[in-house]
Amino acid sequence: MSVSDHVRQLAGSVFNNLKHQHDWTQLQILTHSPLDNSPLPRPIISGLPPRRLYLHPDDQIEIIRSHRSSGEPMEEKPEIEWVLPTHLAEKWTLKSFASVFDSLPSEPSPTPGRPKRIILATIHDDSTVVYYFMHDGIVKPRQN
Amino acid sequence: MADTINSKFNLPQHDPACASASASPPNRPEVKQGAPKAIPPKGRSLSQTYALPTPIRTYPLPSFYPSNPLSLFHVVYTWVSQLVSPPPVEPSVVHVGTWSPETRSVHVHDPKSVRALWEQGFFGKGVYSRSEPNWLRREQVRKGNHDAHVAENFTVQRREERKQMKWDRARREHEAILKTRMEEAWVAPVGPAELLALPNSQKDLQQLRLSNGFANGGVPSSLGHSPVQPNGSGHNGSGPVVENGSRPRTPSNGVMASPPKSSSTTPPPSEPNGTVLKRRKSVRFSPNVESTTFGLSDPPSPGHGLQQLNGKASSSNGAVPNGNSPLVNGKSLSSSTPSSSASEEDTASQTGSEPSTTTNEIVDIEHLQLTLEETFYLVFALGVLTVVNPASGRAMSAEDLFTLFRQTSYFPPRTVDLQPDDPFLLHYVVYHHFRSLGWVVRPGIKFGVDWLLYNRGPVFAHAEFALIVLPAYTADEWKAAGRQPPRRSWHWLHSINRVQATALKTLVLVYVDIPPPSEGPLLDPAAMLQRYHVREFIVKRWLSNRNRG
Repeated sequence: MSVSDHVRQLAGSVFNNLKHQHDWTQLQILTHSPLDNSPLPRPIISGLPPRRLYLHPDDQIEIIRSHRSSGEPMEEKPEIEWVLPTHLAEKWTLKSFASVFDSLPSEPSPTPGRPKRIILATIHDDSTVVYYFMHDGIVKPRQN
Repeated sequence: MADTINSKFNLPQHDPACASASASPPNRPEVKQGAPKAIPPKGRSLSQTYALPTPIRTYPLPSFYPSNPLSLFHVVYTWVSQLVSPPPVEPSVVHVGTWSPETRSVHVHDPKSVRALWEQGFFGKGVYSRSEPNWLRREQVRKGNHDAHVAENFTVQRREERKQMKWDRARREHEAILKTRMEEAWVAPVGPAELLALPNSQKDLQQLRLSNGFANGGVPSSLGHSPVQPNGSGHNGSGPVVENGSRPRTPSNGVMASPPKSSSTTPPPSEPNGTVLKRRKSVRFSPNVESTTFGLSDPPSPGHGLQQLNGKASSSNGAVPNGNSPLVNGKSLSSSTPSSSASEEDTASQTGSEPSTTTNEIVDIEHLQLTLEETFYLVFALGVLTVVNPASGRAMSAEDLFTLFRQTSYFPPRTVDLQPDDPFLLHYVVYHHFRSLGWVVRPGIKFGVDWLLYNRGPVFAHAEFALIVLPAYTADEWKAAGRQPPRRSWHWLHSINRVQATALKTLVLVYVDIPPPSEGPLLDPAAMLQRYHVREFIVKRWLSNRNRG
């Protein structure tokens, strides 16, 4: 089995996991950049999570300012996220991650000044997928 | 082969940990209850459902007590009855799995086998579930067809509550920061103009109080406390009098205008045609003001009462979400239903390969996925599983699987140059070791380790131990060749240990002594595995002031 087959399989597994276990919508597997149609180094999944996954601390303050009074939950609009499928047995380097970031358009980010963000999906042989945020650079830390 | 299986499957039964965990030794009536069912019926306790620690049944003779001669009859009766009608030869049920080279695992599709492998030893994982294969039940609960507890839904609910808690906390902190900024921005009136503008006599002060409706406190203290003061209060030293002097006019022409500014819906109950003085009072002292909130641009107001209000408001903020949370969850759950069904529809239309789901009947698309180590343990050690090669459609022998799994465990897979320390052998030795000791071993990727050890199983308690598998090249031949184990930094160990400590698990370093390569590869798995040795070390952080005894 060649490496390209392998990464395509991984993308399919993560795709199904997002769809059936985590209820994501608008899922699609991208092999080419949506901007200039150049091939991506790895297939990337884009999709809409059921709830917002990441809120920048500055945005949080902004929302609190605009909803000062309400005790009701903040409506958080989910954003399209980019997911990079990987396998636990793979060896990744900073260089390979950087090439993935470089190939990504900065378009899906709502605030262009901020670093790009992907979700690293690492799959294990027992079909467990663990998801981690990854930023292209240093970001302001969030309170846990 | 039969006697080796016997000796192996007896091991977990005699393990003290297992015996102490199960209330009674598994005797025949209990064993017969544990027949595999597709869906666990209601009303069975956990220990009944998960009575068997392995997918194999044993029929031990009851124990004989010399002090109680009657127990001899029990022994003889059991022995004779088993002689007359022998129990079925174990393994009585052999499950079938399909080798999937794409996912480097074995898939089990038969629902009965899936339940049996999960309930009897916690083997495998449902592909679309956290661990127990319950995707179908989750979908049924979501559609309202089934009323059951699903672990994933509890997780969703807990996360919603946590999120709300975090929002409240963030808002409280933000308000505290604003308040501190206000207090720091206030400057005492020191300039000549500001000092001259201060009230000159008791009479002035009385007038000021009357016009402002101050019940207590002087001007500066009220200013210092008011959290809704506009930010530019640096020149406020002159502000108190000048602004306050002009302030009585604000309500007189602005009573009607002020309620829209505040976001609350309850306007102060002021008589529309009352006197100016009355209006002022109604604004300042109305009990309904308590629920009013002020924007940053609102005029300053006496701070003391407002602070109390703030305290109340924040406490009510804490109370309201709790009361609301079921509603919130209900909302979010119900709102997620249409979106998911919509997603199913549109992906089904995209791919077309998915079975189309009708509203009443949900097709179970989930299967059980077994890792290489779990599969080989079930095939080789227990003999309760046969693995079918999808290419040939025939069952594969344990020897074939042994070679295949060793090849597959490399990334990318290799067919030549298999080493005695390949990832499959390394991890299988550890898996077999702890399974034989009666532990339930499951992958530990979520905690950044190789394996997790559960005492009875994940449904009973959290994992107690987290295992890191490390190869040890202790043989002379390895040393002569200068073979070193993979380099691990102190930071690596420390961070892993801290993660386990926060998850209340104990970190165990498992060293596997690798046999030298000159002994040559063997096709027989049992002979090959005998050459490996396992050593365990527990790592714990020691804090001098906490562990003083």
